[in-house]
Amino acid sequence: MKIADGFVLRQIIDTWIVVPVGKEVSQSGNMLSLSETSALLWERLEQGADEEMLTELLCERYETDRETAAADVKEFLREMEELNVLTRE
Amino acid sequence: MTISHSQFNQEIFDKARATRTPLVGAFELTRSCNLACRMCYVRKYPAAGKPLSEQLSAGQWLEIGRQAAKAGMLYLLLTGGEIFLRPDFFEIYEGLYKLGLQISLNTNATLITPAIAERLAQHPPRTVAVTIYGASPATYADVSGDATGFERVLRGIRLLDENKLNVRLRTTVIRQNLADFEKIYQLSQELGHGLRLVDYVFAEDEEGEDPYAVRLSPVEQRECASRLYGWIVARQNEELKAGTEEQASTEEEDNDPTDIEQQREEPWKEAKHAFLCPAGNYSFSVNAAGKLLACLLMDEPGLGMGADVSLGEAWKQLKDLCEAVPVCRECAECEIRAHCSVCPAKLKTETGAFAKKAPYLCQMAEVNFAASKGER
Repeated sequence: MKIADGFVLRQIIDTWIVVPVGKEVSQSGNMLSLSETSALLWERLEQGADEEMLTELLCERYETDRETAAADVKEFLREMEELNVLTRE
Repeated sequence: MTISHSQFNQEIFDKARATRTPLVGAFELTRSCNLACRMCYVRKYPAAGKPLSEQLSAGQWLEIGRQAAKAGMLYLLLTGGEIFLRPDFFEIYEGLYKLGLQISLNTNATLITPAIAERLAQHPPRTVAVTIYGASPATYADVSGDATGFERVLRGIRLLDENKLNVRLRTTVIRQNLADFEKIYQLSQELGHGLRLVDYVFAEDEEGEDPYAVRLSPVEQRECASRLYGWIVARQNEELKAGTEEQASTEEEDNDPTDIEQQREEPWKEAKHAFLCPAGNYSFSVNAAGKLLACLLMDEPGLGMGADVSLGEAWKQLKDLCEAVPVCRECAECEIRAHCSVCPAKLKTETGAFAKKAPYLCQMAEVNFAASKGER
């Protein structure tokens, strides 16, 4: 599981944006807006984290229970897949 | 949803204005141009036409881009001169693109080849703005000094269109192409695009000559705007009747954040300093000499950058310098100020001073005010 090639995560002031820059993805021209939590998960995915590690991260960072964190991560990954920015290996 | 598509994020602009973050930039990649348009401000620079080997290198532009992105730049205009005169254009463009910038281009389109259009399409710019200077080779010769420019710009626009690039057409009407204005509009329609009229032309340098030998009088300029408005309304009515309102577009879609002429800020009475537009507030320019400026239309206030001063640091100083630019009191207190397009750059070039009212702009405001009362 990894982020598709050709996307750049940027923080502009306090807003997180993903800009498509790769040859395959930039034709759409669409930027994505991310919440702060999504941006955190995106960064960790870029570093190679898996679903379990992302769930752990949310539990630690936001002192949330495991079930809620796992559901949030699943939802995040589902949205990424819908937007074609996540590839499952 | 935690992730969503974001075409144009007004919230970011509001935040950039409030925090004075340099969200929007313009890089003047070169002052060299293959055309020599009578009204172009670039021709007035002493460095115009300087050999490319003496201009900033691709590596220098990429470093400036990295620093600007770090300081908060998201939208970037690449302009000239003519950007496609640079043999290293794609090294600069693609390098900047990969930083995660939303890039717009200004070009006269006469140098666009199939290879250039196809390569652009691989990393499409947000917009490609092309200025049309006439509707015949003879008019192109008169305005830009190059009759072949006419056929070449048409070819360039078609190539950009064939590659599905987001072309925006505009025109600058001066004495030498005034008779072509309607034909230029018709041409834009035949090409399948809208047309925007550049609403201000800088004064010529020559003293003692006819003041309107090149640029139009305020009345003529206003008439051009009214004529264009009339053509657009007539076309939209026809499309509504025919049920083919394909070209109607929302203001939001048309808004290009790097087009500083579209970004006038209101209300002017609340302005804390002379710059009412984004310049010096959340927009900056870097000229061909590598100088950081509020706006490319003026050479000051500005700051040199280099190994010891990053763009981010220079921007902090530039904001202070902009605040020190004196406000034209007569303009600020003018009763028809809302109908005037005055800005520090125009005052400086018209009068040589920031705080001195410019008769040409005053006349333009009067004409606009009268038009607002008498017509739509």
